[in-house]
Amino acid sequence: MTTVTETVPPQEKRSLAKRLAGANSLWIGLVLLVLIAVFGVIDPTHVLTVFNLQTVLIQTSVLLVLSVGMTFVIVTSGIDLSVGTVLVFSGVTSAQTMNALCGGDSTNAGWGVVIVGGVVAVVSGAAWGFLNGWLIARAKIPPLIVTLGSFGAALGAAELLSGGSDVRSVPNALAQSLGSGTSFGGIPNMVIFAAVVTAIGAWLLGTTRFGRYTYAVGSNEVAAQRTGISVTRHLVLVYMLAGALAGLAGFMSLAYFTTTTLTSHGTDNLNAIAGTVLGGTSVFGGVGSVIGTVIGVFIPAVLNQGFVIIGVKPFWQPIAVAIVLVAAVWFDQTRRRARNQR
Amino acid sequence: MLGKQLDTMSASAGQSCRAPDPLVRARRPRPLSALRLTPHRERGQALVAAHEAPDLDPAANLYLGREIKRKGMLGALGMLDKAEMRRRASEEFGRLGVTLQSVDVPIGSLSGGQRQSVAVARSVVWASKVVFMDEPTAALGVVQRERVLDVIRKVRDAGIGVVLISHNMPEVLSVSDRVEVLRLGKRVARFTASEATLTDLVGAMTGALVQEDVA
Repeated sequence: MTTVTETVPPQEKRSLAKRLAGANSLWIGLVLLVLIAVFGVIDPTHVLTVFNLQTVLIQTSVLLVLSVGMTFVIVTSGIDLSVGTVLVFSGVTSAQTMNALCGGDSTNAGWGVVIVGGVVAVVSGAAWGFLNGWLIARAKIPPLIVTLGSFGAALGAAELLSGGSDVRSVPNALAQSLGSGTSFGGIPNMVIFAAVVTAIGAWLLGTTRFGRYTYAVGSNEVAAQRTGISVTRHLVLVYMLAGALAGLAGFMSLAYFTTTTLTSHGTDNLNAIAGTVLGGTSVFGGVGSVIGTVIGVFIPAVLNQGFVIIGVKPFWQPIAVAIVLVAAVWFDQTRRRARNQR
Repeated sequence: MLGKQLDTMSASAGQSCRAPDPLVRARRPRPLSALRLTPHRERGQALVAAHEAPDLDPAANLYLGREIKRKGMLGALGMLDKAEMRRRASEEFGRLGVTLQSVDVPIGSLSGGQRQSVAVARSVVWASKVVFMDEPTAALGVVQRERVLDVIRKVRDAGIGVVLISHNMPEVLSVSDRVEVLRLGKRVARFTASEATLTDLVGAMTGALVQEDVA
């Protein structure tokens, strides 16, 4: 028996600049900065005001929470079309639970009731996520079909529960704290809440074993299975996470709008997917980051707000987003093809 | 057995290979596919699955499924010690003579030979006694193939048994110590590699040469 002794060859450590240049999120971040700068130059008096920033941030915070969950799902090379209606469903179950606890009207309910409402929202979302994940990972039905099914089913279930009309009584304690309150000299609580959730999501995906397995499953499911990762279990957990975050987003939406907004979340799923993909997460799986998603989510929001301010018809916004989105996927595909030919 | 390389060859591709008794310490020979991964790890054995996650870097691939966590509370929450994994991966790659330009690019951007070397290293690092490799050099070019064979030799030199399953006779002769020829699911010949010739091997594979003492 011989032992190999050999000096370790110096492995070239990539410089930070080089690594950043290779990251999709850097480029999309630059696009965002350029957009803000362009709108800022065209109309500096309106664009960079506190009120505008607040509006953009609040409007985006619910979508951001959905998109964090979507990032995990898309990194596994899956898709979740159900997040918007799961949000609505969770809002309904949460509002109804809070009302039931207060004998029908929860407007003056205390913090205990609010916390129960939050838990109910998250659990309702996670339950849909579990159903999605189980059907995808165990029954091997394509994610597109499973979540298209739950997209319809969750909205139907929400309307069944609420009788088709919005639940309008929400605890004031919730609406005035999370919904419209501000902290630290004017930062909306909604934004802080979304930022905390996003930071936890970024930590989970970027630095933990759960995140590493998420990338591995998306990059090569067979390889992940062979190394002893339980792919089925992991996929179920990822879809549950996306569902739970949709539930949390439902709770946030409830706090902000003080109603369940049954009809206004039909395209949330598409917005979340667009934001995630714009942020450099690959629909082919294995690549992506929560930081990228943050940037990606703000691009449509900034475009929308910018067009309103500079007087361009807002109808241009979806067209502009569509162009950037398709270009982003095209870029990703070209890059992959170039890599795989080596 | 330690430090030896054993080659088995089956006359037809896709035939299930039966692992010889002493290696797996099973009462009866079992098809290779029936052996689960976990008991392997415990016995210090590992299978080279030529699969890796192309979007992860070599260090991540090396430690996939066996990640090193941070110490303390953050580790308990599942946080990984990436620096430590990268450092140890560099060390292991150096030990096995796997040269990579960088340990933090996605493995998909490496050449086929480097990728395969990482896959071989992956299995070898976790093996302490024996590694099974099924056609590890298939689909590689001449240069890359040589690189993988070098890694295999280093593994052998480190005292780990390698069972190499291959149809490539010159390759078999160049890396192995002992050659077992399988034909129609049975061992039909056994050679010492240094004494065997290409003709012997091909003869045994096709049934032209029959050894009396085996089978």
